[in-house]
Amino acid sequence: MDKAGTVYPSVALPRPEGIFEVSRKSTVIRLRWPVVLVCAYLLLYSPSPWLRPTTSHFLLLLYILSNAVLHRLDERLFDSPIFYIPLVMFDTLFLTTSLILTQRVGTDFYLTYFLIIILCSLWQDFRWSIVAAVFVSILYGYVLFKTTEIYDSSLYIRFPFLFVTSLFYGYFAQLVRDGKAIREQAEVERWKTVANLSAGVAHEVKNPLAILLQGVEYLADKTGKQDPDVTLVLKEMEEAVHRANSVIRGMMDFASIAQLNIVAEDLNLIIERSLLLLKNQFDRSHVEVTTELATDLPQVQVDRPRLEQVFINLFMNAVEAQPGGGRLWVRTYREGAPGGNGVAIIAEVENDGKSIPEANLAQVFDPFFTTKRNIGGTGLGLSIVKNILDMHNAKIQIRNRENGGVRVALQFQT
Amino acid sequence: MAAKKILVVDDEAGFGRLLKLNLERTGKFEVQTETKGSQALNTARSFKPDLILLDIIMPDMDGSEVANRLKSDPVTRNIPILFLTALVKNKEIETKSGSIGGNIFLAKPITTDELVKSIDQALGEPPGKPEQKIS
Repeated sequence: MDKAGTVYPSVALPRPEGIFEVSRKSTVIRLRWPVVLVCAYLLLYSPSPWLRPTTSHFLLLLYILSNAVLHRLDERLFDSPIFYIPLVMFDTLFLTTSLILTQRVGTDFYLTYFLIIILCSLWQDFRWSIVAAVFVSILYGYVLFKTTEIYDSSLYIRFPFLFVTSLFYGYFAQLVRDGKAIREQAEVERWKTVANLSAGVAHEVKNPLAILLQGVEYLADKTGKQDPDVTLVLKEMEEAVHRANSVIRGMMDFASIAQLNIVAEDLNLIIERSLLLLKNQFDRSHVEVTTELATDLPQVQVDRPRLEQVFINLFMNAVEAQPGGGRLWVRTYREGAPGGNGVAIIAEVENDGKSIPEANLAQVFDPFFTTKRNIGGTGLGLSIVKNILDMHNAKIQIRNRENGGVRVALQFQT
Repeated sequence: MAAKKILVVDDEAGFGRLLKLNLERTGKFEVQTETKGSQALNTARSFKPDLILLDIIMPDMDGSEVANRLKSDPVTRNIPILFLTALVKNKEIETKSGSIGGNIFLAKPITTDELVKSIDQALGEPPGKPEQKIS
């Protein structure tokens, strides 16, 4: 049997390259040499009263050696973002210390130096770091020429210093950005693999289940009527088939969130539609629904059917938490100033039914964790909810209410 | 009433055999099974079924290809087809009123009652209890 026609994508990631059409390792080493040179100039030609020449030479030698050591390291180390943390910290410390020891630069140069680092961190692009260097050099040059009489040629070394610093930090900031993009890509690939595997597994398992169900029905008709025990056994078998099928369906739901179709949607409409779909369920279970939906909500970027699935799962949980009937509150509101940055939209689903035991709160999102196995719970409901929300960069928090019941809060960014 | 002829095309031979047993014991259907899409085309021409139950994922020729060929053959083009597949979920079918892309899909596993109901609907038969059970 063909494995459900699935194609299993390679999860191997393209190895990120450095700049100058060489590897990351070579790029890092090449970028550090100008930094070494700048520090050498600062330490040797701006002697400090705090340091003896031998100490300066020793520090410089240490710095040169550190770059030489990088030559000996394994290429793969340079693919790990963690590797760069001590490296950049060491270089920043050395560069800043060298600058302080010169005692020749004023506050304006320190500000310029930090401005470069800030701009590089914000833009996270190597090419833009050159723009940052040009911009900051012009700015610093303007301030310098306005406030200083130009007669000291050593002032001019400050401009290459700004360029060296800019390229150095620009490259590492870009590494951070690339690393994030690669991780996101890896996440997408992971989901695609899960989706393909699930489709394959579902196909391979549902076919035997279909045979079992047909077989059980046939046997029930042929032999079940003559013996009540046989009827009982076949009934149990049929229920087991349906239970296994519900787990497979849950797995398919779990996997199918890989394909999101994100568009701007009105969150209140999604909630109202989900409530409408479950209206009969609420009536049958004697659950009284109260909505408090804010009218001034901006639209949210979501996949509507998936988000409906989230709310339906949460509403169904609320219904199951109060089998004798009860109340369900659904409210939406915004957090943050209107029109301002960082506005978040909150949706709360609250019931006054059974609380979740505190010991279970940390596990409620774990796949296959359920306390409702006896009534057909698969333990995938909240896990699916969490995964769908993760894919939307939305957050979920579940807490017990003081007077019994559960409050679920969802937070969406606009 | 004459038994309706159903052709079941599914590469799972066991599923086809059991479906035949369960559908025929209702007394409403005469069932023939095929496990290969390519052979199903010839059988459809000779058996002249009233309806075809067609699996989608099959090794030699997939269900959609079989359906296309049946629709392009003047002898078989008017035979209604129900796709029976493990690849879709009941919920997807329910939310789309049983039809995806103009074709009727049924999700495996399926009970005989549900299957008979769908076949009756596709054939325009009034839904009802089986006429006679073969024990």
